[in-house]
Amino acid sequence: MNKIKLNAYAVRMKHGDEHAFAVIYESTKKGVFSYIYSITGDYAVAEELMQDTYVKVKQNISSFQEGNFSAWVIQIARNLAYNHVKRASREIYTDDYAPFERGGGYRIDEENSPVLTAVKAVLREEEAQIVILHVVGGYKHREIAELVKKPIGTVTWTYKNAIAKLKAYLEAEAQR
Amino acid sequence: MKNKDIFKKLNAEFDRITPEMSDKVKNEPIRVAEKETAEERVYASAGAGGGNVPVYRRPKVLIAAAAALVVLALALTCILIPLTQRRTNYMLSDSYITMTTADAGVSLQSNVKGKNNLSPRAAGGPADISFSIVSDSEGKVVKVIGGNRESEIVLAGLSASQSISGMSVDEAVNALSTATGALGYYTADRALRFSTISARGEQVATDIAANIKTEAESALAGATVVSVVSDKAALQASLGVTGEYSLEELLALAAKQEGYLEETAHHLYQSGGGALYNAYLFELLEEYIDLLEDRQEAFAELYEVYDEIKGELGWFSEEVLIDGMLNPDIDLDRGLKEDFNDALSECAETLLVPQTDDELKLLYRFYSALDFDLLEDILEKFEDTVVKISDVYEEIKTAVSGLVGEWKDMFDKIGAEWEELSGGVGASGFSDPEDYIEQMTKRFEREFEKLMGR
Repeated sequence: MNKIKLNAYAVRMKHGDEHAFAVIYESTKKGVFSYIYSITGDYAVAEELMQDTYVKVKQNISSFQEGNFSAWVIQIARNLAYNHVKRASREIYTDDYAPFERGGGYRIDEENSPVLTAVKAVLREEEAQIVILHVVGGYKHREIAELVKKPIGTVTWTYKNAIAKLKAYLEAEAQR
Repeated sequence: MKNKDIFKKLNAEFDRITPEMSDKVKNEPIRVAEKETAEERVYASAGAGGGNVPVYRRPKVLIAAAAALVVLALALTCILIPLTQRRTNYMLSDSYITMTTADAGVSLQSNVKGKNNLSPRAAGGPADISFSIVSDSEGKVVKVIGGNRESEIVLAGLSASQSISGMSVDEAVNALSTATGALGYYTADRALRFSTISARGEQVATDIAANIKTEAESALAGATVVSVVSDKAALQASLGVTGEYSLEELLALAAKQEGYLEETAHHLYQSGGGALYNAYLFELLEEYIDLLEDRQEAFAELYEVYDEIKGELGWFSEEVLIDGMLNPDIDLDRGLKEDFNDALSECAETLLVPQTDDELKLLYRFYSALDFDLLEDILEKFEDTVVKISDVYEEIKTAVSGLVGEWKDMFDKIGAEWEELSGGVGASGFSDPEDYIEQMTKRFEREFEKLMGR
């Protein structure tokens, strides 16, 4: 869905339109979930945080000013994801409760997700985020640069590099 | 493996694993604001992107603004320079053509649709576009006026790749029609409407109208194109002027119309809304950066497929691209043909289609080397400059209005003083204040020298 339509639904949602919210959810869920997953690496955590994101969207929609709605939503997702990661890194576990690696105990079915597996295998976290935001979320490099607070040239270069790495890995896997 | 395949698979994988809405989210009520504020903060380009952040914060790019300004400057130059040349029978604003989108089936009346006559479409449909084309008696475009925001966006994108001023009317109509279709402002349930009026008479206008129809139909295959001849009364009505005007005078007025961007800028500056204008401009520029980014990707994709085709055919084989289309004479696997045509369509959506193999290679190298860091720096500088200009403009406005008051007081004071010094003769004989001041200065110098004993 293009930005104009999405913003139009956001305006309707501001007036309490649940149907508009449902449309917004369907249009943005993949981008939001994939981005949170690229930060947390854990499916269950990403699912939980994704739902929290939309709860926050419903709670705070009145504070959204006209502008880029999808960027607003993804910023909420980012804040929640990074807050979780910070909290998780401060937790101390006893021997009985071994920590899951970043990647979690709930793993994506690798056989049916070869590209996502490749993303996790070969890309650095920053590269994975940029690729996922652009390819899955549909965000422009300029928007990603604002979100991750990096120069747009860096984002573009990182993206191209990451795609090249992914491609090389997938082609090598296909040869096997 | 092509990039496109990787992207498709990654999206499909996430389609499969992305969770549905939980009960927690469903049960959370939407928190509506208790009181709507009387004044909503509105950007001039509501809903088209940008951000809910202060207008000056985000980095912007200069190129689109420079491109729009270049078009304006060129248009002005094209109007002014020919005016100084006394060519026999040459008219700068000879013909006036309007181009709009409209619902198919609207009655075919001869009318001129000015830029203020558009009504917004129902929600969900593409916005209408509106262009006015002024051409000279040699059939060359002098100026293209964008009647609304969407039209300005189309023009900004086109202007970056080619200058419309100086094109023949046919070429301009082709370029505008192609761009309108590529950007999604024309859909199959709509019609492209043109109206033409010429100072050289109805027959000339009829010929122009016929050519325009052919050109638009060629640019947008299958489009519904309506091209009519307009009249003086309709032109005058659309310009909103009353009184007796000749057709030539009306055409000259039409040529002086401001585009939507100019009009918005003037209006906003006059009302002290420099900040709103800046926000509007910056959003346009941001959209242009997005266009450049899309082009970079589109050309990378196209070149990848081109590379593959050349690999199959051999590098010294015949051309792949002829006149912007896949060479029909080359024998290719069907899948590869589809991939190439898909990639070409992606390029068309960015308003730029390479016409030949050489052009493709050149554009691919250019766009892949595009330095977005540099663009960002330029945009930031532009933003700072525009902000400073805006601030300085406000300062000057304030200072000038203050100064006018002060100067009047000063002249009144000087006049009164002169009257006193000259023994009540008054400042008669000095109608020019500068002359008066010069005489007063000389008198002062004489008095001063007396004091110094010289």
